[in-house]
Amino acid sequence: MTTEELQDAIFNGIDKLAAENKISHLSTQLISRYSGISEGKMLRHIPSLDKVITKWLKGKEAEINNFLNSFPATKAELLIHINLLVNKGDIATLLLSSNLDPLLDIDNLKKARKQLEKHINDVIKQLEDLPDRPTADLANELMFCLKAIVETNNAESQRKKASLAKDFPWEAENELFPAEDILKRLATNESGFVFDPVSGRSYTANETAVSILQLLRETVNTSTIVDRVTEEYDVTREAAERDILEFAGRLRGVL
Amino acid sequence: MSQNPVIAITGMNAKPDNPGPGMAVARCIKESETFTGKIVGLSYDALDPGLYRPDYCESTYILPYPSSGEEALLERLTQIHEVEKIDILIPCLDAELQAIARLKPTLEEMGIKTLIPDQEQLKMRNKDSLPELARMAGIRTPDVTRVTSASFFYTCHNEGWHYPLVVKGLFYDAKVAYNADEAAAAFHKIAAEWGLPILVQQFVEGEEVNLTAIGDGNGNMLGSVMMKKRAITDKGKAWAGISIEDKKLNDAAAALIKASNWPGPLEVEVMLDTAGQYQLIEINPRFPAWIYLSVGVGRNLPYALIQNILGTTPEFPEYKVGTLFIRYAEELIVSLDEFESIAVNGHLGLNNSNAPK
Repeated sequence: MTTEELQDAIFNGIDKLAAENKISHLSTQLISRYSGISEGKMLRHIPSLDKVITKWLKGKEAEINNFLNSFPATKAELLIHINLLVNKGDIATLLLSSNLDPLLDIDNLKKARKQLEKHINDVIKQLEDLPDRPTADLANELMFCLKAIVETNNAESQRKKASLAKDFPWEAENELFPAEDILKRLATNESGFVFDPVSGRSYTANETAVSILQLLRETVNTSTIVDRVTEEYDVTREAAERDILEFAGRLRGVL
Repeated sequence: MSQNPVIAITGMNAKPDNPGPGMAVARCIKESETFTGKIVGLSYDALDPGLYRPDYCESTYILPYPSSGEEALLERLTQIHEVEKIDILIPCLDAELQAIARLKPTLEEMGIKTLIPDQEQLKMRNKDSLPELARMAGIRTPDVTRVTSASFFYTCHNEGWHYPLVVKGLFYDAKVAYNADEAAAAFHKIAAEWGLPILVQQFVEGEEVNLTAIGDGNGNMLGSVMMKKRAITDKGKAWAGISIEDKKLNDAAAALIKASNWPGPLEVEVMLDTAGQYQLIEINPRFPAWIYLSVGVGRNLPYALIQNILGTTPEFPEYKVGTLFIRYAEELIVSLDEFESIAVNGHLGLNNSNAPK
């Protein structure tokens, strides 16, 4: 293996580590594990690992600049562009993660991060049909969502990632409730006993919760559910909305 | 083979916090409406309760501990076989599986049939070989490595390991360690009891679900029953559980059986991690202690195993999801005569046994 091939293998290893947001502490052991190059070989052929990492970062900065320079101006293009970013995990980690190795020279990255925020803010300003909120809030919400996807790997971050493939976070009203297949599989008894046949968990629900769960089998549209609840119960629309939002949050937490 | 087969079952121990599966397997078979044979209970300790249950076994015997070696085991099985004319042996404890797998050809010659994995297949499910099997079946499994020195725990972060970690004996015992000191303490404790190497597995946060089924040895899964633990003992064993049906888990188990051509019973333990992915934790080469739930849901797997060995195709109806089991302890009254018979002769005739008292 030539020195160049060795370096490429090491770069690939660091790419993988970065894609998994594991570059908070870059060590020879860790790079060895991800690149498939033994530590001994690395030490023999690579005089300074720091220099290799710096070179890797320079390459990534060039990729980041390309990404930022081709930043789009329309909603559909913006969605495609940020999905490209989260799917190409290594530069997403460099642009969004707080867990970077302190030895990395991140001056240029800091500038790139500011540029990303500015681009997102500028594009959102041009979008139509925005909710009645300051665009800076919406940009923050999107940045927060991107950071959550990059920094964590749990059901919530996976859900956010899937949702972001088609909608901005503020548009994802249908994500208020758990996924349709989960809601449909629940065995809900009039007595208030609810059983999830896949997770094996059981719950008790009050009369209103049972009727909402039954409604959720037909629709996950919040305003339809609010309409039906206000028709059926003596409750104001505001109160019904508030309670349904709270119930949706609890459902997401337990299902 | 007789119309009334004699089934020998091991693992009749049943300490409430960590019971063996033998009694539950015997109970399942006895409760089959069409079973007309006889059950011989085999165990290792005179205080194992399954030795004294006439409703489960017609006669019971003490076996030499696995540490006595295969010859001693074969000699004892031969003695028992001369009296009982065993048709089928169902081993229920992990520790005896290797020995019985090696003895399988001899047992077959004697007329004792088994449906168990061979030594190679048993190696595939060893804790340190699991990643390879999981890869073949396309299932995730947490990283695992062999460790021979506790110093590993103080430098492992350099290799990408992060706490909590699970410190495991090669065959038994597992402890979750949240820092290097806890891990080193667990290492020394487990190493003192079970020897080296020790295995270290990345801890998976999530919920454990279990599946039991039978592999036919040709890559097919016969029946399956899935269970989610609802309460556990201090040792992490199920104390209450509920039947569930999860297609993803079922497909994963079928893939494992296909990848290994698994013959015989097995229990697959998986964790549903916080990202909603299944991570394979362990495969046990036997029925689990909660196997009676299979009768509860309408799929009597131990009886299906006998049918399969006898050449009949077992039927597996849709099973009852949401069926709960709750384990409890009760006192069994044993007369001094019965205890004496087990302690002195290593045998007890419980019901119509043709064995000498």
